[in-house]
Amino acid sequence: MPPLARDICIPAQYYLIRKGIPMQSNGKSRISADQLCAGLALFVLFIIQFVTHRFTPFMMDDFWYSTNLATGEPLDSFMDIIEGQIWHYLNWGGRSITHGILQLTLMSGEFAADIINMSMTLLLSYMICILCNKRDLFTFGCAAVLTVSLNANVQYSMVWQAGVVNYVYSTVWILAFLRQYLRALEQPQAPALPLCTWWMIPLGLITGWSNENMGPACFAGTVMVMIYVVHNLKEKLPLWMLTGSISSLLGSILVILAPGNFVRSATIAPMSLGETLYARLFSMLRAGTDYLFPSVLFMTVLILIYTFGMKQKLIITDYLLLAIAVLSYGAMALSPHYPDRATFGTMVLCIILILRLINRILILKPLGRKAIYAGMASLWLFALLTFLNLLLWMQPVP
Amino acid sequence: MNNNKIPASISQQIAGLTGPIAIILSIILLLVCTYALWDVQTAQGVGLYLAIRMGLEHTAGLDILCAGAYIFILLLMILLPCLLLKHLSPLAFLRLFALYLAFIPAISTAYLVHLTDGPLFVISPDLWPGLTPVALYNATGYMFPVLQFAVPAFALLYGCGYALAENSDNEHIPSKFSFPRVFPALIFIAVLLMIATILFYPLAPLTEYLLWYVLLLTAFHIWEKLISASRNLQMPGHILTCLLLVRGIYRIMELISHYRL
Repeated sequence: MPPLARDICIPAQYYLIRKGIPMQSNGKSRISADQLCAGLALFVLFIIQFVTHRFTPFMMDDFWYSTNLATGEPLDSFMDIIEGQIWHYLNWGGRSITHGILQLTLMSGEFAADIINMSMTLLLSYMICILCNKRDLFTFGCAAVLTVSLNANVQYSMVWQAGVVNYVYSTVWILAFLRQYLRALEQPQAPALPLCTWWMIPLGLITGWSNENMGPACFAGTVMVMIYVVHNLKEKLPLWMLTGSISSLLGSILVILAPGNFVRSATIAPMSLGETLYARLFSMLRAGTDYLFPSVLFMTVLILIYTFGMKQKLIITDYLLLAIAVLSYGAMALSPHYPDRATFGTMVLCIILILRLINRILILKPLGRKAIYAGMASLWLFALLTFLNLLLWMQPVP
Repeated sequence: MNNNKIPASISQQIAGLTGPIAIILSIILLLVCTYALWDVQTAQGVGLYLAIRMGLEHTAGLDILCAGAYIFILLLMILLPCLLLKHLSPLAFLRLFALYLAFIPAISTAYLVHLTDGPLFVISPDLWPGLTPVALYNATGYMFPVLQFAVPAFALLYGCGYALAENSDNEHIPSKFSFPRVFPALIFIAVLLMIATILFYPLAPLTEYLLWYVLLLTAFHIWEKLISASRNLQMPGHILTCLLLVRGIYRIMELISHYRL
């Protein structure tokens, strides 16, 4: 083999082997038919998703966030965002990180915002694959399909600009934060990532500061991990775990105790204790059995098949993800409103569990592939039709 | 006297109680459904409409009659399949009841009463502009939630049955568990119902109901066969039933909150 070809081919082969793509005996890679189908289906889905983004203009709160919230003037510079977000924190709500980023995307214009939105959506699917410990095209495709087909409100959580930033963008860094703790449990012998003690501080801060249910749930997750490491594994607590946990706690405190939250809640008409309890119970029931029902149903069925049917045990990180999902759902009992889009983070955690179990079931029962493909194909079609429906019927709300 | 009586294990005791618990839960559910149906049909004025048609002054008797008729139909829709498909146990009844409440689309009581007021052969208004792909999509779009729940659910049932067949010497599971012959029949029924919806538009709520009902019964039958064939699936069956019951109760609460006068 000529030297230059050898220099290219050997690293390429090593790369493909690392990625789990099987090699033929002549050294060429072999992409399986299911990977090809997944790729094609994904391509179609992403095209339609991008077209939906292009046809969805800025609307509703986007117009307000396009201004300096303190002065009402259109955004002109980064300092306008800082000034506006200080006002926002003191008068409207605590989600300064997500709304600050929202204002940056709004300043960039609709086309640039759509490109960033699609990129973050792809990144979210990739992050799901990382947490599933399976980075292949099939898992990536399943993640992309499930985030749409199991979603309670695709328009307001993945297409509307404020929704995309609040839910898709924030879930990306939340998963990046959780990944470190999951990695520590699944690969205890692996060395810590370089400088993680330091970069976990801002990552933990923005995770806790993301929204009112996922932030505290992630902090609680870190506490559970630390207790497990010290008590069960009997190991010394790594410093990065502590810095990440403390910064996520700080972020959660900032988002929940923002003065703006109390200013807004003072405008809501008071209710009696009985009315409040009934309203909260009803909203929690609606979220759990309506908005989250598809995710919860499929996750529950797969857990039951895996544990009772196949006599396998869940691993510690499965329990951790389940606990964080339950906490993120339960935290909303303290909120007067539980809109459908607020279930996005909990849904993503359920999707991670679903894909982990599917991958393990397929290893144990490879011939179950047909059933999984049939289910995924149906959900892919539903996801496509969801975007088509949005395109046909979208009436941007002024 | 033989005093060596071995006490039943806790799981056996629980297993023995599931039948009575299922009966009690079913009765409670029926009472709650009766309450909800009473709210719906009184709010929609079904008894009042019939009283006016019959020239009666008081509606109380007709209200009670209508509510009774609706609850009787509900009971029939759940009891008959259990009898015909030979799943004769309180638990099976409760499981089908839970499935029914969790998934079946609600039909307005007023709709049933006024069904024959006008012509039935009316082409779907979505197709009036013309037979375009968009029009066809709009005319049949209400059936697409089937893709979100029914097809993946059947895929999971198939996978579960396959896994059991592979590892089981149980004679109730054939050596190669497969029910692909059911799927062509289901697809045929779905297409028929879609055509009926397009051609007989006033029947759209009924065709949607029938589609979900047929899918539910098929899934229920397969699920019962799997549960009866494998003891491992008893507890998962209870857990799933509880999950579906909670959703069913939420749907009833939503009806009541919407229609309560």
